Amino acid sequence: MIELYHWEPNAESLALLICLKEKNVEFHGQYVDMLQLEHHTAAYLELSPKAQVPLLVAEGENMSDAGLALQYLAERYPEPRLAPTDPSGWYDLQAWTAWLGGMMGLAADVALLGWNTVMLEKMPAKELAAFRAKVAELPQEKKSGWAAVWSDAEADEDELLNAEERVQQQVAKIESILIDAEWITGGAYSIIDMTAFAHLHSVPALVPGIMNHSETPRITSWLARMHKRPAVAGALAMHNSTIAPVVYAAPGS
Amino acid sequence: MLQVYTWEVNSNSGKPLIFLTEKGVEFDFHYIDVLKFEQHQPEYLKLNPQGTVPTVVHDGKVMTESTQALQYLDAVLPGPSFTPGKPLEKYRMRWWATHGAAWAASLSVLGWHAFMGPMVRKMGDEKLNDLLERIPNKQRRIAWSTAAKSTFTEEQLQNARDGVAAGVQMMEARLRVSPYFAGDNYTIADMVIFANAYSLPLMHDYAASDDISPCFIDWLRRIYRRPAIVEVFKLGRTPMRERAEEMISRFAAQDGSE
Repeated sequence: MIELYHWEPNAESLALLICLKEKNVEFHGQYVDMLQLEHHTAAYLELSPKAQVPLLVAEGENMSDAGLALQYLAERYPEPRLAPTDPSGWYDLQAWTAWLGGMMGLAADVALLGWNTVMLEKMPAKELAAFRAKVAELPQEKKSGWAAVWSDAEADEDELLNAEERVQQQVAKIESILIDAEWITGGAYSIIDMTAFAHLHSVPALVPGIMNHSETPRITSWLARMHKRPAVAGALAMHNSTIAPVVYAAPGS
Repeated sequence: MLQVYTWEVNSNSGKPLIFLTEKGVEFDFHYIDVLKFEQHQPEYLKLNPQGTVPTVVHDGKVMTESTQALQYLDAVLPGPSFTPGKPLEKYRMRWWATHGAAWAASLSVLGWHAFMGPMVRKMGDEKLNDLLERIPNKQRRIAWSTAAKSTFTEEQLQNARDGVAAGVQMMEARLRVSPYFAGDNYTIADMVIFANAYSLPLMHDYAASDDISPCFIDWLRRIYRRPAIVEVFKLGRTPMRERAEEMISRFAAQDGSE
């Protein structure tokens, strides 16, 4: 059976949860509490040496690249269709996957904003102190990547403004695509909508000035279309944290 | 007709050249001289606003993501297939094509320091600064400026050498398990990694040699035996070509003495 190691229904964990529910594939979900640094335990590092979350385990393979794992699910379980099958549409889908994922992309900027605007403000001081103490104990070579976002210093104002500016540019790009289309690529609902939603759904709560009914009406109604899907609602309902409802509120609700 | 705007048989630039030569498909090769920063000139930016190489245009479809473009071309062009059929093998191919040459960022630091930097600095500070100013993306401008002026510290250079060595060991571990990166067959993943790794034993023998990475060296040897690989390096116009030719003769001499 497929196994999914995931954290909160957010970012790439959310995209994979939505996809598995849309495909109606039976899977065993395993919650990895990143705030307890469970992804840095010896047992987890065996599975995912770079401490990446989520992790899809299928056909005995530990799939640590979530964007590629989504492509795998789309091809392994062709129905319902969640990706184009023509080479041109598949190229576009892969280009979107490359563009949306990764430390240099939208995901990193939204994570930085989420950490600094919600987590640092909403997390009880005691929990935050305990979390930072754990991060501080990580070996030096584990402190790059996401751990750098979570390091002891808050991002400075400039960094946050730069991240906001980049998110705004990405949002503008998607907004302009949705002028002529209901979904982001390939003329139909696809794994790219799931990935984009997983990274963007918290932006109206994190930075309301960037994404709202008047500035980005098309993205806002695309978000609402996504929220109406049972698979999306089901995935979002899997949250396990006291901070989560703040971030995962539907726009306008 | 197929249009390929690219530079040398090296790194991202080399991917479509290697792939199309393997495929046996004709294409128009538009040489974009990266050492003259031609990829940042207005004419090229009209085609590819990011100012990256390569750009591949097929039937009006403009593709700037090179690894993904190879998968598209493999599906639409005639010739042998370099993509496995099963979803799991495709995942492995894509994983290795995406992450298997991540160490090339470290290699690039060393390459600029030893080779590219001195070459571009021949044009003089004024012209170099002018060309750097035209780079559209700010982060890329800073990265190119650091690279072109080789303002790397000894610590950065040592980190880069460590990065290359760790990358070779990651490849070695995989090639101990299967002959090619995706499994039993030569695929796009091998071409993508080879485009970055083709001269490692020559320039970076502290990281790649028969003693410390025998499976990796054996993989290189098998790829250098492919006629398309010998052929494709003839497209090169810089000393990078000579490095590949030296590898070809080194392996040929070993084959001859076996």
